[in-house]
Amino acid sequence: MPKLNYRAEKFMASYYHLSYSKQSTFRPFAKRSIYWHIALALILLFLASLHKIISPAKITNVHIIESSVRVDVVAMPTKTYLELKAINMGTRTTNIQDIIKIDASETSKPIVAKDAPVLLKKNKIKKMSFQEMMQKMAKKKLAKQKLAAKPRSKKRKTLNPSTASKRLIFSEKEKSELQGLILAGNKLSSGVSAVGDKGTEDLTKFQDYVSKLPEMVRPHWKLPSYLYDKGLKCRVRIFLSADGRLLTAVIYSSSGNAEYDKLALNAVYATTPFPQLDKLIKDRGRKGEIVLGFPL
Amino acid sequence: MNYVIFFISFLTFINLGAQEGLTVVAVGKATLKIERIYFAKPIIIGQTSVQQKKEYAELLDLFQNDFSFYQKKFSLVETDTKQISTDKINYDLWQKKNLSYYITSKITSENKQVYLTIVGYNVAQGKEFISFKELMTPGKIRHVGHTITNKIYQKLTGKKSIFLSKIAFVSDRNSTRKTPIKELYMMDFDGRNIKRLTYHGGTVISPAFSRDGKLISYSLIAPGKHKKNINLHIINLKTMKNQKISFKKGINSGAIFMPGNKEIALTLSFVGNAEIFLLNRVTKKLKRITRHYAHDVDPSISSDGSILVFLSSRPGKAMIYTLDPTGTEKNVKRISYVGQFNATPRFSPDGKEIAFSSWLENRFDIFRINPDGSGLARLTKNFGSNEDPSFSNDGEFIAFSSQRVLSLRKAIQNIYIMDREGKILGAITSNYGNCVSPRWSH
Repeated sequence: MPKLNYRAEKFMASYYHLSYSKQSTFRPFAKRSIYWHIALALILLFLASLHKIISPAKITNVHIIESSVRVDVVAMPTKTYLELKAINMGTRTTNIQDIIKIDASETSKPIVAKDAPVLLKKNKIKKMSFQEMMQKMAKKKLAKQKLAAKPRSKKRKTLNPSTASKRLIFSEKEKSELQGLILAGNKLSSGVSAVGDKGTEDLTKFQDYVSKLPEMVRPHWKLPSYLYDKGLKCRVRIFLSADGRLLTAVIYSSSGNAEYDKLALNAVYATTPFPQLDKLIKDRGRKGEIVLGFPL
Repeated sequence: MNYVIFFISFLTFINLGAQEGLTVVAVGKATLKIERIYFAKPIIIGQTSVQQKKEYAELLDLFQNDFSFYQKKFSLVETDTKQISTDKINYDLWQKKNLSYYITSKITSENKQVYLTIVGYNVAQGKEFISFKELMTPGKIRHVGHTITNKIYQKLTGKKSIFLSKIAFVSDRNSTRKTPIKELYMMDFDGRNIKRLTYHGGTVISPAFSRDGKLISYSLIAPGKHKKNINLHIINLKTMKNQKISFKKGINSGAIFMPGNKEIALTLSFVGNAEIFLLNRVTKKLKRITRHYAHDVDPSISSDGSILVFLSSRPGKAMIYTLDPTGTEKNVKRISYVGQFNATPRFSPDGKEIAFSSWLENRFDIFRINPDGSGLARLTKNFGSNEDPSFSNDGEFIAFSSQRVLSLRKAIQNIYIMDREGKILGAITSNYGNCVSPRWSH
């Protein structure tokens, strides 16, 4: 027993000694290291946020990379080029890369052409009170119920042509919404990225609107063979009203070939009306901030 | 700290300022507008024989047939044969019909020689765009016709056409059941005017045009029962003389002319296995390009001579490789990684694409790939077994041989033409034996 006790004592002593020495050296270091790590993390976070603020362009570039899909060739393609082309006809092919920003100070041409139509200011609608609004809503419901109550079978044969046409008429807003919907329905999505969590969500409304335009203009953008592959370039600046009407289109930078410029303008005119502009961006459309590049 | 805040706010201010600018969005490349073209019936002035009249009628068909190859650029308006052609055209009438070009032809005879005067009108602009006179050489009416369409096409598009190009091919139409004979033939791009070039009685393989179109190289497996060597021959199309160029032991085949016509790239196997060499036509000096234990065959060169594409068994399967032909084993790069068996890589004249055939779904089909290994695309599908692609001189079309299996023992091979995107225009040979190995002149 004493032998064992002695052994145990020795062991315990050595253990305590060790642990004590460990405590004395390790704790302050651990504390310091935690502080340092927190400080470093904070600095890194700060730098990262600073980086975000400084270089928005770089971040968009990163998003492009994220939203693109990497394809490794693992087998011979079974679909032919023409088959794939037919599938891709309805897809959206505009990259954010294609949208180039240029400074307004560069422009030497007048922002609004002299012969541009004068904008009419809409009469301001008086804001409704809550009571009025409720009343209006109540009326609406009634009208709808009345319509629904009418027996269909009787109406079918004796349909008044005037009411029939009324039913089919869409407002301009509805029309452009529908147009957008049809377009969106025919598109393939940009795909879920393997790395990033966001695809093209980060696009501002304006960029989103602008990126929709090329696929609308492209079907009308045709060149005869003697102008094709000549490497000509021109840019057309367009002025849009809030409902998507083309107010005017002017050549922003000419290709040097009058016919080429004319064909580019024709393509823009043939595209009208453009989709409706959101409230937030209608001013930018009216100011003519959109420039279409043919082909760049 | 204040500094930092100021700095950040300053930066955000700049950022907002940038947003006020104009936004340029690229519409992208235009689609080609298909232009409507009308060939009026030729006016014949003076007396003509029945034979001549037949030839002139053929001329109109030739014009239309030639332009029908470029379906992406031109659509033909059917010629009204009852219409009496005049020199003056009614621009308004044709503008309403959405016509772009109106082309008249007039046949006149001066000093016992017949001339054809072509005048082309641009209907949209309301003016004449081309006017020239061509001598009608008897017996060469088709050649004259192609020269005319070539001139018109060049004027309209500013590019060279395929109308004067030739296609060399190999046919077994003279073989019997016991002795297979494959001889070399040549035809116009539209499959007409077929000429037999060789009378060896053996098997001709892998023909190739020289850059100037005056020579054709081919390899010959000589007839007879003795041990066969594959020798390289060159035939001069003007004198029709053929010459044995390379007859080293083993294979001397797959030859192509390098830019400048001075050198030939070919496969030789006298070193033990098949390797690619450059052979100088004048000095007969050999320069080795590949050095590997695997077989390297089927060279094809880009038009500037900077990249040579070839087929190699280095990975265990036949795969496509590129290299720089100025050295030995210089910049060797593998560009195909898939396919059970790839064969006959061929460069497009602009050097942007390589067409090749590959075994897929129990048959060969034509594919294309870029010289850097990207852009692999399939061009043919459900169209028999397709081999031996060859780009046209302008790079717009690909000729290939396609096999139709008729029964267990019988199959027929013919030469077809498709555009570079894989839209098949049709067969250009028929009832001419099994036609294989088409090669378009440069």
